Amino acid sequence: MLDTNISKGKLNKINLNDFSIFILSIIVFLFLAITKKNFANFENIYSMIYGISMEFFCILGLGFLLILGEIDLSIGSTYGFIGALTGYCMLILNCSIWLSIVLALLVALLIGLINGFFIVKLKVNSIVMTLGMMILLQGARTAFTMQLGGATYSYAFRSISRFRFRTIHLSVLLMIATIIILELLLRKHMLFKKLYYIGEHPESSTVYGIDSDKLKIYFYIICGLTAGLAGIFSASRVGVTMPYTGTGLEFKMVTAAILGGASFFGGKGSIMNFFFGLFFLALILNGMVMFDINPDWQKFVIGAILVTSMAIDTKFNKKSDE
Amino acid sequence: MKYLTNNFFQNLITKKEFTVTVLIIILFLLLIFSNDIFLSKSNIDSLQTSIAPKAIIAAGMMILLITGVFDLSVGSVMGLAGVITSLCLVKGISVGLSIMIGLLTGMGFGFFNGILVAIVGVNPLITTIGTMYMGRSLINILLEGSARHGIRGFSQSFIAIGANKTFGLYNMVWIMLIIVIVMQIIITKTTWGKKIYYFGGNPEAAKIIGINTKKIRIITYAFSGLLAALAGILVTARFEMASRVLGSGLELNIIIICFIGGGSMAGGRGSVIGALLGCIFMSLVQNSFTILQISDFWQSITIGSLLILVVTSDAYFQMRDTKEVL
Repeated sequence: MLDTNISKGKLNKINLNDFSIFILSIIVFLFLAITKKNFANFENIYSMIYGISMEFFCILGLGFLLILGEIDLSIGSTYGFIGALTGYCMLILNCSIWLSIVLALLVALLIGLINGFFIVKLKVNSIVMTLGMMILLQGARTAFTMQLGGATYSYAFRSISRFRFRTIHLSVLLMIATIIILELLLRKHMLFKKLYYIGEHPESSTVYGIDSDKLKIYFYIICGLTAGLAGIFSASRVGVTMPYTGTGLEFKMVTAAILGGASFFGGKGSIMNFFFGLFFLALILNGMVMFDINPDWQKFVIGAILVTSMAIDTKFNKKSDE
Repeated sequence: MKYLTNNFFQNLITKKEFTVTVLIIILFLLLIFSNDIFLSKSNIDSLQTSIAPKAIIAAGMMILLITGVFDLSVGSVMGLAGVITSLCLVKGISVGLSIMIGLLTGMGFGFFNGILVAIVGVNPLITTIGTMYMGRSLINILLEGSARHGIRGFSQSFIAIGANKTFGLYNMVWIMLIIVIVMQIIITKTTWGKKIYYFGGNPEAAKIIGINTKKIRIITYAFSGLLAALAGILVTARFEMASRVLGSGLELNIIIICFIGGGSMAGGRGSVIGALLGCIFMSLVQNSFTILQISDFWQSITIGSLLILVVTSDAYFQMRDTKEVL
């Protein structure tokens, strides 16, 4: 009944499409390892993975929404704003670290809830609604960072992101655990099959009794939460929140997600591939630094990658009657 | 739709443009009577240079919205055209030719967008976000070395284009008025204009009856790029410098303006006059922020909430039209 591409993905039937970003990453990785001496050592690679582990949760949230056929453009501003809000609670309201984090995450949840409600129940266009939320949060972020005035966060807070188990950071461990658990679930559990179905066939999902409205709102909440979580991690790592923190994040996340196979038309994408989408982007950016390319070209390259991968996505995934 | 009556006034009142005009008048009166600054020469000047370029860009954006798409790269095109024209000028190229090159850049950019959306079929949001970032980084790449903080030192004849006034209003205001009026006439009176509305209202039907949708897409995107370039050149001339931040973040502003002026994500609605009205309204709102010295925080809250309010009511009325129950 719930016949989607993913549910048909038996492990012995290898779909080349699913592996393309993995292969691309390997190619770039090998290229960099061969051409640059400083690339293929543990520190460099690990620091790339550490950086990815912060953004990974963000892309999870966005990725699920893309699978559902929705989008959230406010994640960058949520990321920055929640980081600033946590800082505000800690430094200005003098709350304890954990209380600040909990409060900030509750606000992130609220942001996701508002997005979800307006988009799903009031039928506002998802692009415009999250764009409006983005503007709102940008202003809030500026206001709170002005209050903070660039003050650095406490050592205790900053050590959250530095917490290592043996030599591996907490966030990396969480990321690996999440990937494994979610990948297994995706192939088996009914809930995830429903997600893919809603994305691919939005109209008939209600016929089959799937409450797509409720699921979409849940995942908008999750998206807000993950963006906020990533923002808190990042605030802990960097030690301070600037007025422009998080700007352009949604752009990078959407690019990575589409590289990772998420289709703009819903119904596609897998957790491992989202990771490889981020990995590929990180490789490209790391490679550009190693080759001494003017950093101003970075945005250009990401933009070009985005447009190209969208073009490929459209060619293969757009339903013929659209 | 709602035009079931022949009553002129009933039809007038239901139009978005009417509501905006009323709001503008109210805001205008409030501003005049609540402070001395509003009617001062410098304030009126800055209002003009704020409204004119935005209205020019909004006119192009409105046409795109009528056809059901939009262009998020206009801010980058504005800045890019300003930078390219400036670079030509300081290299000694004549004013006229430099402006032509700047305009062609904008048109080319728009053309590129149009081809991606119409022929390759990429989603307009992603395409124009991608080109927005590409354009913005091109600006940064071009402005390097001694030009890092902007380019100055233009000839008087170039500056005069932006800074001179005719009959008391800036040249750019007259340019804007001509563009808006001509485009409004084209939209409402010519066959081509009617095709645009039809295309926006029902793209599949438009294709079936033989409207060349791909051509319209490409032309409208190229036109949007051209207008954005024009606005960028005018502003660069007026302020006598090209900066890397010109147009940054502008695209969202323009979209809000168009929505206030009657545009809708669904396509098939809106008018160029509406874009101008939305522009006047937003500029008055932002002017009152400055005069009343309202902080950045409240400015963003208001603008973001305004956008959400406008699109929610838009969605609500659409739902009511199609009789969907909440």
